[in-house]
Amino acid sequence: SAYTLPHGYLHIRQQKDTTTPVVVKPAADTTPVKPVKDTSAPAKDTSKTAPVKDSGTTQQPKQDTGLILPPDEKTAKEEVNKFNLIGTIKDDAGTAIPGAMIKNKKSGAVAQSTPAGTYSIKAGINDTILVSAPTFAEQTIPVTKRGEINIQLTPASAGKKVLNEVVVTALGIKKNPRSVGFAMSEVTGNAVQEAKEVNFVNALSGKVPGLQVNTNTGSMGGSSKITIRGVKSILGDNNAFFVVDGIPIMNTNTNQGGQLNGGGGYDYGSPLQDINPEDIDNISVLKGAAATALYGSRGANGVLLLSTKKRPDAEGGIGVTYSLNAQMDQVYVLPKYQNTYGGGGNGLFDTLYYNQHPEGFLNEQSATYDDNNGKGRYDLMPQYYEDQSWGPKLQGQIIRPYWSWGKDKNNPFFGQTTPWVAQPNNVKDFYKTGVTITNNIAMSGANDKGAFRLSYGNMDQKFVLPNSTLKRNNLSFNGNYKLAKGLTATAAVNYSSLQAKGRPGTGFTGPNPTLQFTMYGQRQLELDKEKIYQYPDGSQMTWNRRAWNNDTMSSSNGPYWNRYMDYETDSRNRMFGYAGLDLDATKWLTLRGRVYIDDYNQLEEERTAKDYVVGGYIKRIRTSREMNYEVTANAHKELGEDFMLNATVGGNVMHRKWTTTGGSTNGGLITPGVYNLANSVAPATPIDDYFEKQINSAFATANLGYKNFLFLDLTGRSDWSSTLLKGNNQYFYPSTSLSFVFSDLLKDWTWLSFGKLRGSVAAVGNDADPYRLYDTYQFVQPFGSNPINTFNPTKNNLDLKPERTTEFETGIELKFLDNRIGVDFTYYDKTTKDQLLPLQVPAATGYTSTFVNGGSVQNRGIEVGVNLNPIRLKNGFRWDINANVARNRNKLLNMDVEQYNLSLPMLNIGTDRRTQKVSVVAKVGEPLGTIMGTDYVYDGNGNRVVDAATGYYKVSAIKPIGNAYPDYVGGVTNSFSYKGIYLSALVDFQKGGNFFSYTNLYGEKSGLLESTVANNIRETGIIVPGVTEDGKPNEKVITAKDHFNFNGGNVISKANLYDASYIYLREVKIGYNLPEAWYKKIKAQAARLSFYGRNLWLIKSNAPNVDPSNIINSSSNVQGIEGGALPSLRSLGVNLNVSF
Amino acid sequence: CKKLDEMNRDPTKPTTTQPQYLLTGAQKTAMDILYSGLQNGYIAMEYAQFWTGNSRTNDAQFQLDEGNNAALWNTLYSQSLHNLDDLIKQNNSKTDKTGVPNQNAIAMIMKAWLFQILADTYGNVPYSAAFNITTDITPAYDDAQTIYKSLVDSVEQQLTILDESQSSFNSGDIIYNGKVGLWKKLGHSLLLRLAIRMADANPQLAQQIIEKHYKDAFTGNIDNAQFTYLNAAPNKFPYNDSEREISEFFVTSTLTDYMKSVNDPRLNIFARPARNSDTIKGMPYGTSSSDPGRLTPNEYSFPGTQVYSATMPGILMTYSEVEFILAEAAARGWNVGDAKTHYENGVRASIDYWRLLAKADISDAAINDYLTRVPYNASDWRNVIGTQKWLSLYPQGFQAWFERTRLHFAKPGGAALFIKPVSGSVDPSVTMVPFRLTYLVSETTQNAENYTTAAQAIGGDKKGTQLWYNKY
Repeated sequence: SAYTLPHGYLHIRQQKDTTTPVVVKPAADTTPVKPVKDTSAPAKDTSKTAPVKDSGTTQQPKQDTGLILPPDEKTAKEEVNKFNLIGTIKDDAGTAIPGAMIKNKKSGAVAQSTPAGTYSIKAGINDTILVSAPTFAEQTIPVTKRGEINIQLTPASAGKKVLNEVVVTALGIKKNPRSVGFAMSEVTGNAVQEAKEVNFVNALSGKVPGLQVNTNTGSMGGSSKITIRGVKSILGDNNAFFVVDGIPIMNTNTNQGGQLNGGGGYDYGSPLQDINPEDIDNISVLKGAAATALYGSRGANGVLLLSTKKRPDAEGGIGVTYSLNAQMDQVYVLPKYQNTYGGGGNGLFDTLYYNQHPEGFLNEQSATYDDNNGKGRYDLMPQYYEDQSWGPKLQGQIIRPYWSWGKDKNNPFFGQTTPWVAQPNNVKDFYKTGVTITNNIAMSGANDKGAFRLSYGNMDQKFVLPNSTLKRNNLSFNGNYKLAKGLTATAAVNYSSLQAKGRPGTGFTGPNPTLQFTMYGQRQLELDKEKIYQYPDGSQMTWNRRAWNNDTMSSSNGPYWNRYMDYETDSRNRMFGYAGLDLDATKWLTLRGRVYIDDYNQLEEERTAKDYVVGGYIKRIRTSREMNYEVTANAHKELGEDFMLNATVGGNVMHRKWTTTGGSTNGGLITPGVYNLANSVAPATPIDDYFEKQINSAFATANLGYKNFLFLDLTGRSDWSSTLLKGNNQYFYPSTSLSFVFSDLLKDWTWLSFGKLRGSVAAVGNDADPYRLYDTYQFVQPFGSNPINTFNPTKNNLDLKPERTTEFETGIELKFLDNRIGVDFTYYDKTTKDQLLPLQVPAATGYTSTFVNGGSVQNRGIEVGVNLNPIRLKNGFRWDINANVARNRNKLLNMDVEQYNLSLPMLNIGTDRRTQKVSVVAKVGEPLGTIMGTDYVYDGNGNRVVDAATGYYKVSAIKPIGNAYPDYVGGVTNSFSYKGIYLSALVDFQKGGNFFSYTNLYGEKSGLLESTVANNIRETGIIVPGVTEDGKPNEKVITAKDHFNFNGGNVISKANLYDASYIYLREVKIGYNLPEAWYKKIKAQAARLSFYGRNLWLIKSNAPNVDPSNIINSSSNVQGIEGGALPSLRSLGVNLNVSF
Repeated sequence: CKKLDEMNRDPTKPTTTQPQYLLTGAQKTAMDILYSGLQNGYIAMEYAQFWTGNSRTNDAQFQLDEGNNAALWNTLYSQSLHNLDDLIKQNNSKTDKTGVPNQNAIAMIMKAWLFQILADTYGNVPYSAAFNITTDITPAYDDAQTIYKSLVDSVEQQLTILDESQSSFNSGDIIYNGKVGLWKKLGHSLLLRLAIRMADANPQLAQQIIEKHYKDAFTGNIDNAQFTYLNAAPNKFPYNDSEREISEFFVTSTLTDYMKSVNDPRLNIFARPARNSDTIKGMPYGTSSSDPGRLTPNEYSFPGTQVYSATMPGILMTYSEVEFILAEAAARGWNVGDAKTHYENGVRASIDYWRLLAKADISDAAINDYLTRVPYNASDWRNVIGTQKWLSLYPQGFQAWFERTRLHFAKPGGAALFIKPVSGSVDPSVTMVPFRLTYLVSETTQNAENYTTAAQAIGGDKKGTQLWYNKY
């Protein structure tokens, strides 16, 4: 069962005679079991780990934690007999811990360890002793025998797992880490619990080698792109697959097409965020094909395997854990705005004379100016209608602001004037301080019949934008019960409810606040006046009015109107869980049956208020249900003295059905403020889509171990998919891996604590999405009474076959000098061929794309993880460094489409929405994510060539100008612990990668950014550096505005292409294990307080005005186009965790 | 439990359709793109120098928006023309051929209309290799002149097939409601349009075609081919102000100044008074928003309300265009009657069209007066006919732009009518007006070989490259 212990390998023969309970002294090189690797995640609460009691037989332990052993009737009788329990207390490196407190929880007796770490205390069988020492995690240890118990304490938050741990691999099969022949990483739940992110996965950034998480913190609950070992699919999904306790979690991006490439729309985020971080016990990151081959087509991008908590955090009876997390968010990286010039198009004000339009004034005297030229008194007016800031210099001139009109609308400000002055903080102050409060309470219990855990979490986020909130409630229950001897029933249900209001739009869309702050807009607007966004009659008062006597907007709403009138809401209710039976058929055979469900429905509502525009409403209801029916048989058997076999065979049926239903209004709303599809002027356009697919699978795996140091792992899985035609729809995934713990044979090498070589080869594949075989027509709204059909612009294809990935991987894991130095190195080489892709084709074919198999992508890379422990002092001070770096090199080997006998030079992945010049492409011989665009034209000496007549740069044809993906990424965590205090700091980094920036392009084109006033460019104009075609230096002066308009990124893509490298102080945590004396007062068993900060300091960046680590629009493959990214957020928080 | 191979058929989408559904789709998608603000407005109406941009002025300075360019090409090929192509293929595979000959002929005439627009917009374009995705994923480009000849042959052939005694489309034909006689007239008229475009490049052929067909072309505004939009979303004229005030474009001073100079009765229909002055004032073409001489938007005239109305028809071809073609043919000495008569018929037909459509109070006497101010002049036929034809093509931006570049006319008398963009051209290959649009960026990658060949064949993929028929 999910609760039972891993098979086989934990029952280590060499340990058979050891009667040491629970936590063994690590000592010795002779100790056969060592952790496969240190996780890079800090702070695993050791009380939650599951060290294993060696039962001395191959029988499975009754429960999944050795910490709690059920009383045995025989021994219970011996309880009266007290004895002197003795032993030593050491840390995980074998260093004695003096001064540790040992307490018999039953009798209350207390003892302290000696300077040599030895102790002695009165105890009896079935007593429990509690061992604590500063900076180390407390341990509760049941006494099961007379004599000696040697105790190892783990630093409270060093991010280490204790020995004898197990790792969770594909299909939830738990393994001894030394038997694992491929690279994998484990992260404890704490890594995503203390320093919280709304979507837990964002907290993994920089913590696991080869795992890259990209997000945009400024987009409330926005998408996270999670890639492992780079991107391998040119146009398909490259996001890792998530499995929670065996339940495949749908994480489909539901963003609209235009939203992906810098166009308008909302980023509804990754559905993954429904998972409550507080429920997560452990995350296994399965990277390569050999690790994931058992998942068949779904594991092709790597798998994150989540195990949830199942048991009490504290020992005995019903345990209750409460945690409170409070977090404050503020915008961090905002563009640098200019504050010298206000709105306008040509540096001028408009004028309004009293004599011509007395109705525009309170009275004649209220007109500010009089040139005494007979024309009379007049007022100056900004060019309200200009959505840019190339206006007059901000010098305190008295002007008529946009809010001084609307006499007929009873505007109380009518006729007022205001000085034309800078408003340097009008963007910064628009963003509020966000507050996120998370409460979680979990209750759990266990006895010899079963165990349960019940958890309720509540997250309430008030985002930094006005009128935006995100709320989530999570309720989860899991339990198991022993129905009869060897027969256990198990079930889990997780319910989540997510409610969002006022997500910001992304890219080029009105609801994206950066559209009018950074891409267009006027710099001098007063924020407190912008807050008054309506006239008394309810109509909008926008700064972008068409004229003094025309209230309607020219193109832009005011920012507060956007937030309060044109807003979206969405909600998602989700249920995922499983039910099943486990049968221990014989001593060596376990049968298991499971039904998994993941079911959600999501409601998305997008509103545009009826006002100067006709208004609109879009409603989408998405439903998704995936069922998995799985049966497995597990065998584990010792074969003679030296061999151990573990095998699993099974079958799975996956069935998924999903729909989108809804509509959008046509011709506007009838009644303002009523958002209902029936309130549409013309009949609403329906949205009605249906998808269904099924995959039948059979799989088998066998792991053969020799003397616990040499392991061979074989897996095979065959899938039959409904999305391909019979004959093409079956595909087989084999894998084999080998693990060799060579340090077992080198016991003389005392400096080598541990050494393991591993290698694997595997093939995985991928089927198509549904309905890509047969052509259908599209519905279009009828023209009056005439129905219309048009073609689906994408041609389907009956000949599709699965795409295939083959991967070779090798690695070595080494620990030196008493585990003070640990290195884990992996090299992989994988090739994905016959990619399933919608090939863009010339429109003259009648289609814009057609589904084909084609292209071959190679990814080669290295992953290096390093653990260092430079300092560990007797007084308990400890310093650990966990570092990782991953480099992935990918290359499009060919873009051959066999079916058409075609060798394409490149394939377009996406083109930016606005300039239509910048494309992310796959180009043969080059990495995926090549950015194409126009460049400057250079002469033989590398000078930019300028057109002598116009003074503008010459523009090259479209060519490669960069790449969206980084050269390498990584992170370094430094952690320090001392006397119950724990401090860790994560710095993550990215080297290389480029992005094309709308923020900079439009911010400069519209005269908003500081760069548009630098060096007096507006006053003096600019002679752009370069040479004319005849080789002479350019001497033509052009205006600043023309420079940014015609030399900017909308003409020369390269002008706004930037390096995406960064170094970021991503996370700092300070934790404190509250002393027992404090938490005892509230009858708690443990309490921990921590403070944290995330996205604290962008230490180094080469890109102006944006946070290069926070620019993504979606989790799609269209990366490298920054579409007016929302400013990134910096978070500070406090976390309290109390167990009763 | 469904079988795996049954599950992959989308039960909610049709796999068959009716020819009339495809026809309506073809007509609507073509008109929607040809009269969209992005394609007609920013490209065609600006290149015809009818309009100039308000806040967005780069287009008038000949910086082509690649998105708008791609949408034009992609929509015409993958939707409008593809629908027509499929309509014919499906009809041909039917056993019951009732109505099929007429339906297919109508579809072929529509294809000719659209292919000519593509060839006039870009030069060489994919034609004979198009719509064969199962065998050809990279359609080659055909020579534009060859396409023209093929279109002439094709339309002439359809005219022999069209049979008024047989059924055609009972529904779905928004332009002519299935009336075969009118489609025939349109066929003849489109032949005139094809022929006059090559009047300088291939005068013999042009003359032959025009002389053969002119009698059977449109004879009155009642014959006009137009797609009448409905007053309900999403079937309104694509660029209408019924849901919001449109301020993207001003009419140019080129248009307004000339119309004022001859007191053109259509002026108040083509333009509306500036808000501040209540008089019509065009903006000098290509004035960027940074130009210090630029006045506030309230000082300039927006296009008239009729061309922004929800029910403005999408014009395919009108009777007045036929008359101007014949006037030019006659002026060239071809045997189609009297040039002056055709010219005057053309002017009258245009004004008549507008006074009916916009319910304008223009008397017959006013039209006669107008004709005295813009008299036909055989020795200045190019300018006289060119100017009036240009006016008559408002707001058919594409046709007006093609005729502007082909006829290369000035005001009657020879004074320059058109101006260079006030704030300058930003395309070094273009000084006065683009002769064509550049090919799609996507063609350079998806169809690289054929693109390169075509670009070389036409003399370079630039907006300044003259088309085969541009002889001036």
